[in-house]
Amino acid sequence: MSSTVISKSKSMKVDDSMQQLQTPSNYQFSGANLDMLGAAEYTLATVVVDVSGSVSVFKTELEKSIMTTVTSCQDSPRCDNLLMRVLSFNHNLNEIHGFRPLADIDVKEYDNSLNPSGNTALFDAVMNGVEASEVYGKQLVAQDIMANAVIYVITDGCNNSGRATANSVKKAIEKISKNEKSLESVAVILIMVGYGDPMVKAELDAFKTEAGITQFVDLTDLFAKANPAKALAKLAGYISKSVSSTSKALASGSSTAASSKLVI
Amino acid sequence: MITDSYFEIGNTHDVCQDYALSGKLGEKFAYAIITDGCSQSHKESGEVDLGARIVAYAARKTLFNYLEEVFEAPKAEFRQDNLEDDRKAKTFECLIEDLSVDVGETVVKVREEFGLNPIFSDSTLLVAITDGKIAYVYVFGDGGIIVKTNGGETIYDEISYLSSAPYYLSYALNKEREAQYRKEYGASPVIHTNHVIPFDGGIEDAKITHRQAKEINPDIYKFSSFIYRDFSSISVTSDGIKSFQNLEADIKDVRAIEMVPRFVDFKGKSPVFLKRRMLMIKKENTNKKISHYDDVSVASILV
Repeated sequence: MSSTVISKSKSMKVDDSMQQLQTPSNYQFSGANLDMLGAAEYTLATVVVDVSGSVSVFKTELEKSIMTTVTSCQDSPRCDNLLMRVLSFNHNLNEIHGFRPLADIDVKEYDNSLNPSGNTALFDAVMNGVEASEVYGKQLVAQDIMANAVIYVITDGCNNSGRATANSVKKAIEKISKNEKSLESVAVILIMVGYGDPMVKAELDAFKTEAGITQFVDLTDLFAKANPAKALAKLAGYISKSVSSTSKALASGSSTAASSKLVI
Repeated sequence: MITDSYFEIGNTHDVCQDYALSGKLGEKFAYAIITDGCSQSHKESGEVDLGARIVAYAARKTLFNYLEEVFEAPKAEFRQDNLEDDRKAKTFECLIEDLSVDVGETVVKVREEFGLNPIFSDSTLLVAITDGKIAYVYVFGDGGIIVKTNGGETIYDEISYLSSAPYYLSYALNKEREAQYRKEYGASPVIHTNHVIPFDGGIEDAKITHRQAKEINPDIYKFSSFIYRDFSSISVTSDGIKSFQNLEADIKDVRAIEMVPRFVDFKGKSPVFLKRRMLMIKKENTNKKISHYDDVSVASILV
C-alpha cells in the first residue's frame, strides 16, 4: 500500500458527473462517468506536475503552462475526443482533477492550484498516472470506446520520497502495454524543468531507461538560456501538439501514440 | 429508444455506395434505414453513392410526411393501444406502397434537377419502424435484419436473390427497365434465410431455415416485409455483412452468421452505441487480418 497521501484539490469544484476509482496499487483517482461521454474514442492525457519546494520559484509559470496546454487542447479539432487529468505531487499526490472532457474544464481553476512544498515522490506519481490510465482505459474499452493514453511527467528533480521504485514503474508500464483489452497505446514522457544539475539529469535519464519510459525531454537548457515563462510556454505548445497527434493516431488506427519532438 | 447508424467503405471500392440513417419518429416511434447502391451501376454512372443517400433521405422524408397522419394524429390508428397487430400491419403496408411511390418521385425530381444518370438511384432500401413493442421492416432488394429478442436469442433474417440481381425501386420508374428485369430475373427466387441463435448457444447451434419468398406471395420479387415483437434491439444491414474475409493465409470467407452476434453485442446505451461497436469490430478485425470487400451499412434501434 502506498504511503503517499492522495488528496483532492480544494480548488476544483466537486463534480457529480465524476466517478471515484482506485488503481491496483491503491492510488485513488477520478474519471468522468461513462454515460457522460459521447464520442466513440478518447485519448487520455495526464499531466503530472512536480510541486516540491524547489519549483516554487516558477509556480505561477507552471500554472500558466497548464492553462495554456488545456486551452490549446480545447481549441483542437480533436477536443471532443480528449479527456484530461492533472495530478500534482510532492511527497504526497494531489489530483487537481480527474479524467474530464475538455469542455468541462474551466482553465481559471488552475490559478493558484499548485502549492509547492516538500519532497519528490516522482515514482509514485508516475505509477499513479500509468495505473489510473490503465484502469480507466479498461472501463472505456469494456464499453466499446477505443482509447489510448499519454502521460506527461514534469519534474525538476529526482525521486526522494514515496514507496514506489523504478522497477515497479517499469512493471506498471509493461503491464499496461501488454494488455490487449485495454488501451491501444500508452506513452510516458518525462520532462525535466528548472535549473537542475548534470547529476539530476543523469539520474532522470537512467530512470527513463530503467522504467521503459517513452521519452525524456530536458528543458533545463531553455530555462538557463531564456526564462521559466518562455520555457514553460514552449512546453505547453509541445504538450498540446503531442496530445493532438496522439489523438489523431487513435483516429487513424496507428498502433503507437505519435509524439511530436520538442524543438528548443 | 435510442438509435444509431454506421456505414463503411469496402476494400474494393473507391467510394462508399452504402448509406445509413436512424432517428426518432415523433415521440413514440423510431426508424432505421440503410441503402446499398449497385456497384455495376456505379461503374457506369459514377453517381450511385449520391443515389444511395438520396434514396435513404427520400424514405425518411416519407416517414416524416406520415408522422402526423399515421403516427401522431389524435385519432390515428397507431395511437390506439388496443389496435390489433393485423390492423397496424395493414396500415404499414399502405405506408410502404406510398413509400415506394414517394421515393420514386423524389428520385426523379433530383435526377432531373441535377441532370443525373437514370441509373444513379439503383440501390436497395431497408426500412425498419418500431414503437419499441412491434417492428415492421421492409426490404427492397437484398440485405439483412438482426433482432435480439428479450429472451436472449439472436435472429438473423437474410434476404438474397438467387440471381444475385436484386430488384431496385428505381426499376419501377422506367417501364423498359422493369420489363427487362422481369424477363431476365423475374422467375429467379428471392430467398429468405432465417437464422436463430439460441441464447445459451453459439452460432454453430443456430437453427437455419430457407424459404423462397414466392411461397409467401408469388408476385413478390419487389420487396419483402417482416414483423417482429418482444425484442431489445433491431438492426437492418446491407449484404456487405456477407463480404468479410480473413486474409491471413489463403483468403477465407467469414460467414455472415459469424459477424451477426458481433454486430449487435452493444455495450451501454450511448447515442453512439452502434458506431462504437462497429469501430471496435474494425479494430479487432484489423488485428485478425479480417476485412470486407463490399461496403457495410447498419442502422439500429435499441429499446
